[in-house]
Amino acid sequence: MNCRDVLRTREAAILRLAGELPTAEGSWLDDHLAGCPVCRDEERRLTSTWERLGEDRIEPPSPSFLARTEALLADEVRRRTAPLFAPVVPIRPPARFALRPLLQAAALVAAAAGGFLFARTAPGVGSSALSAAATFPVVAQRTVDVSEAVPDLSNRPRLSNVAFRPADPEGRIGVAFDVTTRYTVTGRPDQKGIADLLVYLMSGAADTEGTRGRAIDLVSQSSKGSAGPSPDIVAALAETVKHDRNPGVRKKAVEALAQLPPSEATRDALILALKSDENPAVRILAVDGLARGATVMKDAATLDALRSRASDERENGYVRVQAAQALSKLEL
Amino acid sequence: MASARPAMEAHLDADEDLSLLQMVRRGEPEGATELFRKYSAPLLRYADRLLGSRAEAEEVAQGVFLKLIARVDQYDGRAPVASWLFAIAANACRDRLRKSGRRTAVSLEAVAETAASDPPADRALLESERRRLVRSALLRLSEDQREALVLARYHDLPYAEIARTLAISEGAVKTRIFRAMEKLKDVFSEGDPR
Repeated sequence: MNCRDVLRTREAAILRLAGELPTAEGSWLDDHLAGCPVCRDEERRLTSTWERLGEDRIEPPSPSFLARTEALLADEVRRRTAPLFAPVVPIRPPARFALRPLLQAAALVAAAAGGFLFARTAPGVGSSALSAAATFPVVAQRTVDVSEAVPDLSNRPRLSNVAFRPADPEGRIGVAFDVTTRYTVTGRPDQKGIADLLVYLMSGAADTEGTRGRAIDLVSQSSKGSAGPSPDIVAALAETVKHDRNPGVRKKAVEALAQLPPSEATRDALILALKSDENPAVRILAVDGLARGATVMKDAATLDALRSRASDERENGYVRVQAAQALSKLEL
Repeated sequence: MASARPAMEAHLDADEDLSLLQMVRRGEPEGATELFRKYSAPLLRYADRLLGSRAEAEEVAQGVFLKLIARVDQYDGRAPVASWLFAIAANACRDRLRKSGRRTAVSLEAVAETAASDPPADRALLESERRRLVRSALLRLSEDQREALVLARYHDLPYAEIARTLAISEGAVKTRIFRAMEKLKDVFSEGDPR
């Protein structure tokens, strides 16, 4: 038995389930279903399918995910609004009939960058002199009101990523664009400036996991053999362990912490990773790092953290075994 | 359904979202955290259903809000903030699926066969199994069909809003949901233990 209106019935039934069926078509559907057992069965199966989909319930976000992400987002908003190195180059008042040198400001930035790079490559400049080095602004966002300044387009700059903002109540529109300027900052990884950049990148400023991981590698390599890690580096690695959303990056950060000369700060960051990181591979590396550090600096906090993991039945079996093995070596 | 939601409530929501977005523009972290509290759960559910992975869904949900902060000055107000966020999430999920070249592990036949087998005695297990079957069936839909159906079925978005979110026509939304429902109806009907 078949019905020539079965396709129309299916379409109408699905639209009704989604709340999209026009009233007239709804009346047709009801009338038709009343007299057509084939289409009634079809409609019943579609309704059953729609209801069945409702059985896929998903757990709400965990409190730890919410807290972690809220902290990350708050940091991100603050980071975007705070100047990185120095205040933004001020925009000068417009001269009459002269185009506002928005791009001249970029030229100033470039000149400052050139000076910065020149200063960095000058022979005999030690790290002690770097604190007095010139800084240059790296500005992510700038909004310019044309009543205060107008862009100088005489050099025909290439504008990319153009977006238009609709008129506000006063009829003012917005035209947003990027003018790409690429900087290359050179120096040794342990020099201030480069070290600051690496710390900044691994602390979440880099968009990709690969870049954050590479920054951690460079920090880690430059810290090998140093007498004591810079507190900024340890703090940045600890923040990465706490907040980075990518487990691969957190693993690299834990590995880097484990390779630094042991200190209370590295120990605390490793204990935190062991206690709270959701990824077992990160926790295993934290066990290794703590065990390594404890051979130099055996303390109660490290032993407690390892014992706690080794005896926690909810812990991943491999992490427990690693913690127990580390303890047995340390307690011999 | 969102289409049946009182219009005033939707307007208030939209106004509140815009105010929060303005806070983000001004550099006030509370704007971002409030928007996250409001939309993290639906975005997480959306990404989870598209990707079939909670861990990846969390990364996508975080990424959506990081992009919101990075692109806050590009928001032009043509679509509601919620649609903008779902559009970012849809793109992020598509990117992940494309990069991983992922195919779902369970065939339609397997879904039907499992559904037809004896249900576990324990009620919780039974419910868990049914959830798994629904999820497996969803993951067998094409990406296009799944993202449209999920927005309609689980997020109560009207077709016009889905079209705007996915940057397609309303006709395309209608077709995708129709095909998705046809496919799922066959799967569930074959293996329905009820």
